[in-house]
Amino acid sequence: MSEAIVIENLGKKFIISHEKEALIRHLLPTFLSIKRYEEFWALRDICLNLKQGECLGVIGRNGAGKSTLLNILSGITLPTCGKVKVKGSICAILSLGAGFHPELTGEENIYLNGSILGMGQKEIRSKFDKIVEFSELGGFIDAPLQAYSNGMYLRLGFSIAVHTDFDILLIDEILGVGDINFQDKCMRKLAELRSSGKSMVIASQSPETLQPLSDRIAVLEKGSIDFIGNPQEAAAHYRKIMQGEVVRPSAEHTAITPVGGLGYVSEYERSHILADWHSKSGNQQIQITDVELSGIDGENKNTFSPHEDIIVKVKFKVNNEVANPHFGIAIFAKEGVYCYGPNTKFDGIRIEKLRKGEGQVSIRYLKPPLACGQYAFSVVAWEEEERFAYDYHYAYYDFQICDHSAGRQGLLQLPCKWKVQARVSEKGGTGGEIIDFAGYIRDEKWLKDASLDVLELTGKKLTDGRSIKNIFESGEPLIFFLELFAQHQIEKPVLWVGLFGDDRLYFQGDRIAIDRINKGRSSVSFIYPELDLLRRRHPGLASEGRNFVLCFAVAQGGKDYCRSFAEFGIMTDRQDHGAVYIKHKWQLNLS
Amino acid sequence: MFNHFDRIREIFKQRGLLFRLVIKELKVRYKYPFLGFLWAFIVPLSAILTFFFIFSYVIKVPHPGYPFFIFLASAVFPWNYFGFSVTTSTMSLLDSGNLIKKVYFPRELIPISIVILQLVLFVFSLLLMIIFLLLFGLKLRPLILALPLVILLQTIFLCGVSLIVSALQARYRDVKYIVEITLPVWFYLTPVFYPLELIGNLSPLFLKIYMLNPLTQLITFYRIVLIDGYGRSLPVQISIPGIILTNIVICLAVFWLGLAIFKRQESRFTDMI
Repeated sequence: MSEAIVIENLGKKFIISHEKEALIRHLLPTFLSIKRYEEFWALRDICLNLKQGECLGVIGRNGAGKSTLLNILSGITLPTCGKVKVKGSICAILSLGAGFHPELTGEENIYLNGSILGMGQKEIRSKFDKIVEFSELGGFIDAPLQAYSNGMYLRLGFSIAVHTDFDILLIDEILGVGDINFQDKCMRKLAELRSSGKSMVIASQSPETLQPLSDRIAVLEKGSIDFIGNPQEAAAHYRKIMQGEVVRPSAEHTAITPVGGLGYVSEYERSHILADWHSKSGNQQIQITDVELSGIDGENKNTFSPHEDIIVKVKFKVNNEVANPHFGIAIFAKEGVYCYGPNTKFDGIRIEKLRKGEGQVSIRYLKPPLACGQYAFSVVAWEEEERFAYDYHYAYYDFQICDHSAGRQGLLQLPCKWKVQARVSEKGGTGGEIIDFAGYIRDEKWLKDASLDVLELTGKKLTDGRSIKNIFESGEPLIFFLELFAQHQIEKPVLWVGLFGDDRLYFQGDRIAIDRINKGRSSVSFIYPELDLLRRRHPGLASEGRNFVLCFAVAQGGKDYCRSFAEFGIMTDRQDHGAVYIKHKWQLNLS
Repeated sequence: MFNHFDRIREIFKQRGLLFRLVIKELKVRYKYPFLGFLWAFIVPLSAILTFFFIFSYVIKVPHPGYPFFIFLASAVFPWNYFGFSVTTSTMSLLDSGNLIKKVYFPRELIPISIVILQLVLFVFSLLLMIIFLLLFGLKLRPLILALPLVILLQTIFLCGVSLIVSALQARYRDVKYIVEITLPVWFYLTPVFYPLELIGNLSPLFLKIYMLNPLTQLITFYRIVLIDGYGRSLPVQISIPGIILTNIVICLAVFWLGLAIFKRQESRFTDMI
């Protein structure tokens, strides 16, 4: 077998100019203004080869250099240094439907996009029927692209791309878009192309996508190849980079238990948390003497309103001098769920030494997005490496958010917005009937699209406002966009979006009652402006990448008109434990 | 220097894509407006009528031996071909940033496709021009067969200019403003609504310099080819074979320069768009 691609010492440098200067500086001619430039090596010292017929996966987090590598291979950008030798013709699918024009029909776009991808007019004509068939567009092929749902758009883009003549296929991240059916179809087609002897380079953030397709996987980290080799080992290496080594407990801990108001909670975590609930431990070198909860006015209390700032003041006594301790103050939900646990070490606060005497640590949680319910704080003073605790008050300080007598509905209350092309019946969605989330986590409804003929779901996507994706950086905006088609007007429906873990832990549900859904096409956007979720570390979860689920339903009078879902994953560099990141400030007053 | 031939060959190989890009742009532009394709003619016609009114009633411009309307039309159509090609191609690379960053194909096709689109419209307006000639009772002479050659020269020139402005705009962003300033000045320095003899009357030296403007040369060719009797009204100092030769040299040189500048900037602008 000969080599399809040979890359030697490839490097790509970008010049980034820092633009922190005042506006007036920017308006000056470039030659007068002083700008600082910085070099940034997106890729460095890359050596790779791809045999004919081989499929290479490229994995790495955002900004690791995956796209730059594919851009160079496809000829879009030129390398700064090094050599790239390519034998054979390349088809690069770096985004689906590049060059599509929304005002042209599907047919016209096939000719346009096909030509852009290098097909001749005769070639397109001869493959036209195959392209249409694969894209499942049917009669829509004569409609302008504006009328297409997101799924149709992607299918058409993919269909054109894979019907071009090529020896080497380059794919960047497109396998993470679109609905499950589309992804399945892509995967099947890629497997088919692979067995027909085409060479491929596929970039993705998800090891699950790459593993079944790749002969080898290269792990890119900060522009260099960190590891290359067998897919299993590469995936393991990647996971290690992503989250430090995680010890996976045995299977008996992976059970999940239904808990009222929260869906299913991982039994491992729950039993662990509840076993130690209200307990104290530690060697008392540091002794926690007093813990006070208050609002910002300083008045002690333990019932807070939703999104109200909470201050936890911890007084302690140092009995023996200790070096490098750190403090943690965590929040648990009474049902046995770890909500959030920051500590001074993760936040970069160094306490070199604590001498004998007294001191105080306090934390202010800013607008905690916790749902109404009962909670408890853990307060702990840790030894440097958390080998033992000086003093640990585990889930010891109870508090509650609003009056919880109504029963819990989810774990969180992340700020969210609806954008609906209809009048909202009652602001805040307090009206209308309650959609019972519990109905959606039963096996027969979980992760299934369904609709009555009256209201059809024609498209769905997750975006960050700029691009479609399903791996989000913690704190990024997330927009769940849905397109509906109603056969006739629907009066007073309730729309609902539920956020779940893939173990069916119910994070949050939001609903809105609107006056009507008009006949014809309409769209709904549900927006989390800052999705502060943390990466889930629950043991035993099947997929590492996408372990959150958004469920959507339109209901009226106890009847589902339509329901759907989308899966996504969260990436973050934050080490803090728990389910959600809560903004906070530490204040230390040391002896 | 001569490696541009390979580039030209590659562009030529992609003529299918060029064709599609032109068709796309035509459809996108004229599919939805009520008057559709007609807009491509209404715009120059309104300019012709305005000039006609101003320069035959308000300011009287001499026009011996041929209808003034024809005189105007024979210059406004080629000028528009030039003007629209340059202004729209200036932003063309930046506007197709999405495409450039996602697919590889010879990027020269983007500005060139804009010139070709304008060429299509221009050819149609020349058909209109011939109808005008017949309406005004002018004779069509065998010389009209040279028309495609003049169009070819202008197209080569325009491809060169478009390559230059689009590549430089992608890199410097100042070019747009320079183009905006230059075009009106250039317009007045081109004999669109006044005859060459007015320049000839000023000074013979000035006329010589004035005739170096490739658009003056091209418009003069169009008029000689289209208007019966125009050639005889030209100032005697002008030697037709001389300007034909200069024009060919200028057009080819600009095209060559366009390819060179584009190639030089290409490696940089994908990182900057």
